[in-house]
Amino acid sequence: MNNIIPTANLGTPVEVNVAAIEKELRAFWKTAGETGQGAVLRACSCNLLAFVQNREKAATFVPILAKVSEWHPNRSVIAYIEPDEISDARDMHAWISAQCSAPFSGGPQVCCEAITLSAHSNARLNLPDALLALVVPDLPVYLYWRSFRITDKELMERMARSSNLLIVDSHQSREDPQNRLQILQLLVDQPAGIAMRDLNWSRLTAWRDLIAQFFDSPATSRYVYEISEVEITRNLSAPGSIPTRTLLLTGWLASSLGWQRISAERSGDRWSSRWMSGTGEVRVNFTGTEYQSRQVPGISSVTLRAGDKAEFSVFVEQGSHSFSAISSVGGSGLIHSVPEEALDEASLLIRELSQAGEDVVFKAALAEAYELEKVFRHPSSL
Amino acid sequence: MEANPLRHGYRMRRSPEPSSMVIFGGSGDLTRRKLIPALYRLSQQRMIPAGFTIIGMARTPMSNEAYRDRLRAWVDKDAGNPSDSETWNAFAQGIQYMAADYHNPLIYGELKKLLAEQDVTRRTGGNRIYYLATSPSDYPDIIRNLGANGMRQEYTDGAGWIRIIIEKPFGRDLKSAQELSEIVSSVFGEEQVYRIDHYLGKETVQNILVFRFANGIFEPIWNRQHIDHVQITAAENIGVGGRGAYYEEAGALRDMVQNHALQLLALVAMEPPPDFSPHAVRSEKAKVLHSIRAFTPEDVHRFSVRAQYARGLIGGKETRGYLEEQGVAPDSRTETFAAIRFNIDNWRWANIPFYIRTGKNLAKRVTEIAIVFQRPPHFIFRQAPTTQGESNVLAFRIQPDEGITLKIIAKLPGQAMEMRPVNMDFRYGSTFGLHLADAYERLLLDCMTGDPTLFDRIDSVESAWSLMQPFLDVWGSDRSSAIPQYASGSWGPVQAEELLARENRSWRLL
Repeated sequence: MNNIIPTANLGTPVEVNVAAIEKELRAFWKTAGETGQGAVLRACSCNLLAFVQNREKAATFVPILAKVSEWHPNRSVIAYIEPDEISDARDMHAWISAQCSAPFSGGPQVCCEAITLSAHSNARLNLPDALLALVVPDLPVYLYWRSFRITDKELMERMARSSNLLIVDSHQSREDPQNRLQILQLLVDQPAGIAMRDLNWSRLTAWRDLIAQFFDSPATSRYVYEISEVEITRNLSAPGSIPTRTLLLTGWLASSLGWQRISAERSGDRWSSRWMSGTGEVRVNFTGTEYQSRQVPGISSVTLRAGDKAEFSVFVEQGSHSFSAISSVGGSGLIHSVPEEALDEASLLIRELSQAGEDVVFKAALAEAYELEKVFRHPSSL
Repeated sequence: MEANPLRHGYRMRRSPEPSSMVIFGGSGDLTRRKLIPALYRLSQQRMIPAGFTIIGMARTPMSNEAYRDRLRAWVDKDAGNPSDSETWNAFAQGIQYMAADYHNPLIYGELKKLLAEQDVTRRTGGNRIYYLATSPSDYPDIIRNLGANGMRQEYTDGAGWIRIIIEKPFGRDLKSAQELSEIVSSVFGEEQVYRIDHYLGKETVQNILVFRFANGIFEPIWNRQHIDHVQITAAENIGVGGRGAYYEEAGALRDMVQNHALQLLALVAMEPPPDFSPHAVRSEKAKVLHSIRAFTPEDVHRFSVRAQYARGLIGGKETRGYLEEQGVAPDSRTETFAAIRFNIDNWRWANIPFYIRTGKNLAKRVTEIAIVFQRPPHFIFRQAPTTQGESNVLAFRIQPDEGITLKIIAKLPGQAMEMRPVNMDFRYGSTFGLHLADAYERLLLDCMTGDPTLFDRIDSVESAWSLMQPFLDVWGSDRSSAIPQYASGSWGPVQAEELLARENRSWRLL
């Protein structure tokens, strides 16, 4: 991990006008070049616009941004809306700062610019224009909607219109089913037609990878079409909720393997669904278990069975820092262990920004997940 | 068999089918430093599947357990990549050891049996990779014995795919390369043969193709109308160390020019392939190597320089001269430095020189390709004569500090019209912040997935040896003149400077 040098907040807010901000930035780089500790390399490979809920969330996003900047040097603009009760003569404020890190290979520290922008609610619709005026030309614009409540669709759509990618995190809505449905719907609808991403999908990559590996071998590949049962277990920090990741995982299996949904039902912390594959019926069961402290949050196991001929399991053991994948076919078993991945917000963002195009597999999985969520919330919609 | 439907979508990385990799030379230096650390890292990153099996073969008797312990120590200490117990244990389950003399035909039956067992217990599906990490003198016997024991045929008798990885050097001159090629082709099909040149697995080397063919602005000026010349430097700041005896048989020409440097030249000079398929890329590389003008004995004298390092200072410490190194004959004529001027006879590159220089005990460790552009046809800034001689240079830094630099001329701030060259830098380390994967990781994975794009094809290998043969002949037979010496820690002999100076050019100061 690179050595992160704490953010240098330059103090007083500056007027929100592009020329003033650019002037401040120029002054900053000049000062850094003259008086900074060691050489400074200013780097930028993309623009990252982040919309957060409030000032506190903006502050918590700064260290995340520092990590992201190590991998994707960027000009970032963090924006939030001030609540009405905070009165101020000006409609918008801006602060500029820099994120610096020392590269692996040594050499000059790499610094990226960060601009924080706050707007009063009366000026919220001016925010997109203010943000977009601050982007570095000719570099991709990635919009991270970190505020999980999609309460201001108009604002989001206006900001998305000039972006190349919109990233949300459906996991943030885990205790708010109404909002989760809204987020899934938003992802399905694709505002402004741009590519959409969900950090929650990225959390599934290791699971998908290990599940797919079971069927790479010529000796086991046929079983992928003979899956008859899938068991998913997950610890639940919010009992009674339906974890979006389990829906996405089910959606991925169904869309990749061409399963057609027959039925879906839910009871408390369990849900089940029946599907028709090319070789017969498939049942997918989800069981939620109460979250224990020290447990790794998230999915704890996925088991796929092809009748009684083969069983494939991926699981994370409590206290372990690795995934185990076990396949049992015809009496012989194979185990494969790999380290658990870092799944913090910064790592997930880094991954999403590395693959910024349309993710068609995600789209297909999402469409199924959204339909399942609708059924669970409104059983009559089946 | 239909492709795994759960592998659709670009986010899912390539994962090869389970296979067994037999490493001939399982306790050797290459296995220790490169192969095992690379395979372990691939396993850690979930890039190779459960069931992947390694069978290390070497002469020393050893149990499986002892071999696994040795490999783990290599991963932990030598490669600076400490293993965690859980991952290591899963990886180690697939490691076997077989003590054997490769020259003994009888052991191949045992190897075949061991491989068949892995097909059952580890479901490797009959997929095999034979990795020749031994001394090149062992290659012929190993290959013939694999053939004689029916261990080459794919998709028969329960076998899946079968591939063989051959480490350089692939021969030591044109004749021996052709002889080895004959032995290889008598047993394996060309599509089964993966000749490894680890330079091609380096990120920046692959980026040459992306840079050239994914950017619209460079290809139109990538020709004799705009480029003045190309310089390729592969410099090392260490001597032969304890490998004097090996180096005596190799020299800079065989060690670097015939393979690494000519591969770099081919990537810079090749025509755009119709697509990024292995056949298309390798065909264009072969074509450009074939277009390099052959050298007559007179050309060898005129367009090349060879030299040996003498005593000097590197990093402030006095170092030995080559003739004082262990294992080196006191009257050795083996070159530790070579500089050659190449011409490519095609429409794109006619009369544009490609200079290659490589050597040991030079001023610094650096590998770089520099595209030196022509100067402006008419220079209007007459009041700034100091920059009149500057060319734009596009430099690909292969190692260390991988990246690309474009040198441009800019005006100095101030009232006067003064100019100065400045560099626009792209550095992998700072732009992407990534820890670059080792070349072996990439190449091993490519072989497992059956992608030979970054491996040498036999026609390229033979073309490269054909080009080198006049140098081997002339330098090998010339006993009349003394071999130029250069001080360790310098940039090579003065004759190398003269090679460019007589054409009003100079080597870049790196």
